[in-house]
Amino acid sequence: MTSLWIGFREYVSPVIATFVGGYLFTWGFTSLVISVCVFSGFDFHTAEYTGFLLAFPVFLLAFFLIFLSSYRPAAYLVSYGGGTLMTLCSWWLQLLMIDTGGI
Amino acid sequence: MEFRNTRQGMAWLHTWLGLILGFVLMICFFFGSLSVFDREIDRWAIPDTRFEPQPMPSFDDLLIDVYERTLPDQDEYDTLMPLYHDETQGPATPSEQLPADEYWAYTTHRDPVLRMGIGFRVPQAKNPEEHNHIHANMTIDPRTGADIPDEQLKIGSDWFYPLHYSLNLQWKFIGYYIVGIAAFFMLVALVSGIWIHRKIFKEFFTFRPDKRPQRKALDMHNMTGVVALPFHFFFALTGLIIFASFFYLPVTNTLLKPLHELHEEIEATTTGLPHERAGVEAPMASVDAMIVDAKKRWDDRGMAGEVGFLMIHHVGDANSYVSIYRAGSDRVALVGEGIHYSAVSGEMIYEDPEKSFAENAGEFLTGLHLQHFEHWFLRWLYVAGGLLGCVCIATGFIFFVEKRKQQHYQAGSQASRIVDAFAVTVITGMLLATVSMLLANRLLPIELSNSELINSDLINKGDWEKTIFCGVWALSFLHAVWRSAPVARAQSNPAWREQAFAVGAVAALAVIANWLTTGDNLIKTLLLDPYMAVAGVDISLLLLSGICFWTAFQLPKKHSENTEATQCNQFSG
Repeated sequence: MTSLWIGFREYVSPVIATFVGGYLFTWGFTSLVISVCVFSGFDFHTAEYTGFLLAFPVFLLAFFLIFLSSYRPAAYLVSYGGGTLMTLCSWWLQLLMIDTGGI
Repeated sequence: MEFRNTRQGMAWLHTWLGLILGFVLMICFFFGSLSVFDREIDRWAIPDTRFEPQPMPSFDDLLIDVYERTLPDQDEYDTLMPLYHDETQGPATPSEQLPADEYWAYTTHRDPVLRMGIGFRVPQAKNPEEHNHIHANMTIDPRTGADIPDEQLKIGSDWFYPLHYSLNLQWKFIGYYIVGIAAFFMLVALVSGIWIHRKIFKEFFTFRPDKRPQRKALDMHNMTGVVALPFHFFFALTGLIIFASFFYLPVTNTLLKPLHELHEEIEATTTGLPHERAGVEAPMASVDAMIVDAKKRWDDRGMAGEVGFLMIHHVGDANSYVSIYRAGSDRVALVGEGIHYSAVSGEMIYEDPEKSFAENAGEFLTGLHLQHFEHWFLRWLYVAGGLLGCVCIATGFIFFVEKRKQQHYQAGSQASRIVDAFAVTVITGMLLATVSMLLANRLLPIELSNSELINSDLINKGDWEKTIFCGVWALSFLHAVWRSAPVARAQSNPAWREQAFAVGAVAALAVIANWLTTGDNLIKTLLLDPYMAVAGVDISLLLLSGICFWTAFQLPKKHSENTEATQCNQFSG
């Protein structure tokens, strides 16, 4: 049981933490791209396509950068924190657009 | 977990993520390859549909009758009605009285049959603003309007095709998420694979068949990985993009849903296409006349074509409109050039405008993945690319086991044995399940689908075929585990050879069974009365049979031979 736990902690949990961090960063990035594009006057579907086309290359890049980072806690902070921040920004932009009806 | 350098980290990722998710990716690549010819496999599996592809039939003369006689799917009604219906407003509307809200019909240049569907609305819904639809999906013979029963499973398009993106695991869409994670780690494995193999160009030209199995497997893994690298990267990426908005990154259906809905409302105003029903009944004008007009408009734009997709929104309402989309068989991007008409007056309301760069890029990429275009050579290249992916993954498994089994034997570990048993299951076991399903399709009587004596849920022909597929695959796993003991002694698993023989035999039997039960042999389907869909499946099965027999004869017969080879390799290497 102990060796299983060590195996999980040493090998599996960093991959999961990296994957989740990368995903959260990508989620925030995509939502921000879409809301910024719509805010800038682009059609909603154009914004959506732009977000999805960029999303997975960004996810891949984020995954490698976090996983191969020499100091992973900092990488986790940037990915989890950055993802959350971008999500909040896109949410705020959305509220702004809905309040003003400006899309 | 610390790595000395980036390359070591990449190697770790490539090995372990490739191993764990390779089992899923093998299924995706193999059934994705078969999906290139899903319609042709359907023709092979349902002999009644072996006729030439048909254009969209007349809506006014034929399709409307089919729509009007079709009832909602009873299973879906039983499941969804309690969720959608507001009991405080009265009893639920019986299924046969549910009003239709939308009709659709879809065909391609490869479809003799026509797929159609109806979305029925729930009159007293808990959330009337939501999309409360209970569906009916049907397939008809477009020449006569006769139903083609769903119990006769479309093995290609309704079993192999969804297997490659959902594993046919529908519970909470779990299969989609597993495949999505596997596709993402496929991208990781490809990038890390490039990183760890510095001499990528040299490896493209390196295959040493005279070397020991471990080296041969690695050469083949590298070669197939490099030769189809853009193909593998592209398919994993576009697969993720296709399902991004539904499953993998549903940003616009969750976080940005209010913005999405606001956009839909504004779009409905600017395009003139009503977002909601008016609540006033109205008759429908001639849809055939709209189709004639749409074809004329496409012709005027220099892109004459047939109708690929037809949809009628808000059926029977004053706000009803008809959307007609051109079949995209002459272009990579998916169907498009939609023209929309008022279903009541028949007047054109709106033509889809030119797409933006991002939309065009997205439609091009998804179209390239879904390949609706008419280009047979390219379709075969897709199959080749997908099968190269399978070879790459399979040789990765073999290399993993060959590299470690001696070491595991000395350490008394069972790890290689377990990996090998799984590898047998997803390589030869998967092939065996596939060809067994096809053989069962030809041997099971069609009456099984229509028998009134049998009314269990798991009894129609299609369900039996699915059961046989899963059952054979499960048996192949048990067989692989049962025969895997030699791997723990650094020898080879005889299950490889035995299952390869079984695949060869069953594939050949499927071709013979097709001949005996339908009269369609290769002389007929190639020369006397050519029908390439069936001939292609038969030839592919015979090729598979030949390759499997050849492989089985190449594999060592007895454990001792391999042991000697392994020991020699150990001393020489």
